[in-house]
Amino acid sequence: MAIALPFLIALALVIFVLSNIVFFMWAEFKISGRVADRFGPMETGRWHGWAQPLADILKFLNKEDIIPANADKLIFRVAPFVGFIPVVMVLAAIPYTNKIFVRDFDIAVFFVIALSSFTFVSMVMGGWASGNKYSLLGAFRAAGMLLSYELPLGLAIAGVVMLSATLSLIGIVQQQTVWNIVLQPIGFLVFMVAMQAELQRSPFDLAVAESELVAGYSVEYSGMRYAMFQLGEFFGLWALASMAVLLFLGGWHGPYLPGIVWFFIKFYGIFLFLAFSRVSVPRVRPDQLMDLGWKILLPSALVNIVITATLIVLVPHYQVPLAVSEFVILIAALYLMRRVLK
Amino acid sequence: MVPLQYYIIMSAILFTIGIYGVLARRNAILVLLSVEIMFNAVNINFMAFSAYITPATMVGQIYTIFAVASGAAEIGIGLAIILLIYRGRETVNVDEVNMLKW
Amino acid sequence: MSGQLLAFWALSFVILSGALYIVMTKNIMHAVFMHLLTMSMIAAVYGLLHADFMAAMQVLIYAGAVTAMVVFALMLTKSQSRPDGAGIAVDNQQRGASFLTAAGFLAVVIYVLVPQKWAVHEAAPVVKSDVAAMGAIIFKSYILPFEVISVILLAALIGVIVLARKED
Repeated sequence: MAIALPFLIALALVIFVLSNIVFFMWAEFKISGRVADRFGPMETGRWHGWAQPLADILKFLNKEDIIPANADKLIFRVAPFVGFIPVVMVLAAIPYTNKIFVRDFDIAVFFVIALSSFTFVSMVMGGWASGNKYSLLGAFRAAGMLLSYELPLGLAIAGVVMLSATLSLIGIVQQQTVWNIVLQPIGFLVFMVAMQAELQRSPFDLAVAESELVAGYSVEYSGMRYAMFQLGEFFGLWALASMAVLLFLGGWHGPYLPGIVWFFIKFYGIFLFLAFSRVSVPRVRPDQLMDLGWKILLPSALVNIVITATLIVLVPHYQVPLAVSEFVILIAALYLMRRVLK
Repeated sequence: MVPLQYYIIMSAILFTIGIYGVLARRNAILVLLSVEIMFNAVNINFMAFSAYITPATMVGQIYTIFAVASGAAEIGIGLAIILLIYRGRETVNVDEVNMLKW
Repeated sequence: MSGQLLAFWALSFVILSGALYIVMTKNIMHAVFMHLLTMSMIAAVYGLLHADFMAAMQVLIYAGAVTAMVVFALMLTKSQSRPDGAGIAVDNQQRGASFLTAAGFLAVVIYVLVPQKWAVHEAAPVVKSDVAAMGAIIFKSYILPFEVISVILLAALIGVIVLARKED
């Protein structure tokens, strides 16, 4: 019985996350529907089409698993697992409150970043192995995005790590008497943009870009393997949105309500932001993507690190000067950018 | 508990495989991958010695950090040189690149 | 046989056979993906040595950066014509000589290393390496090498840009 307990906990966690993911799918259908002045799904399950994601999953389970004649069979079969298993492993590192967590890694931040880079590897594997020019182009774009967005994401987190002097996610949340978004507004913005690129969500879904590349790396996939790519994307969303909450929004801290409720309020706030930005911003071109990554996000993250490090070392009570200087620089940069873009 | 010897022998075999790859491969990218294998064999050695002989000061781990950083620099430069050679001579085979000047 | 020893044998088997596959295969793309697998397993070996930070760093660098860079270089060059390995040969004519050299090297190394008695620390290898302590050591005792590495990385960055840029 004592041996079975960890497995039961893991199973409960995965079921909990999966049920939330089903809700994510439904909410995204509804939000993108409303933004496009439609209702979204209305029929399945009677009440506002709540059962639509379940029906989709059933459909994927029933579909034939097609492997193209041109494909590199082994890599084609393995690719969805390479993307899926690491993002599920990430769940082990994410705490929900200081009591509810699977394991308190002392390198949790690093662990999450390292494992989430496997998503791109699976895209490159799948895209190359399909033996299709569209999927190869998608794989190409995925590799380029990996190189340009992994760096700003890591550097945006580095500022937070410097402030809290620990890599443990529980430790980082416990350090935040003031939410890190106040002290690190530049880091937060960089993180939010780089996160969407890391998740391959529109406006950064260049690797799937259905209007240009049919479906990018996943053109040739069908049935459960395709569903695994999609599910992996949602698990990644879960991981990175939790990271945003824990690193920048004070995790489970908040007045009156219990910690777990605060965590999920913030979590769904981030989710809503992602859902709206998906439907309201047009997809960027590849050259714009590289420009944004290398010329705007990377320098901003570096400026953030330099300011944070300088103030921590030079000023004894650095919170107020740090917040003020970051805000001033952020607003000045946005103003300048607006002038330049005009 | 795994004896230290096992790690050392494992990394020696890995290094040997890397040597074979560097000598027998013709494609420059595969040569680079073999060099990476040798790098990692050395790193395993560093890490094993660090864990078994100096666990408190972690000298080996810190050397590994530096080795990994220079390894990343090496593979970046190496690939850039390969691209440059390819642009000039339309080949990435190291045995065809036998003239200093083109 | 303890669990650690079992894990070590399994990991060694995967690492060594993966490395052999990398140096033997005719399919370059397979070699790249197998390289990633081998490097991840080496990260697991670091985990076995209680160095979690280095394990995560290994995965980050090889899964995150090196594989993507190598894939890019492969796609930008004409390395082989077809995925089944037919086309341009990837091996040269010196396989036999290379094998002999490598085997000789291995024989010498094993002859020298196996009889050695190492001064194994009594607390080893169960000491959990602590990230904070490691940071303190790097920034106190090893600050000069650290700065030199940063200069090397900067030089590499600039060098790569200069090399790979198209002259117009």
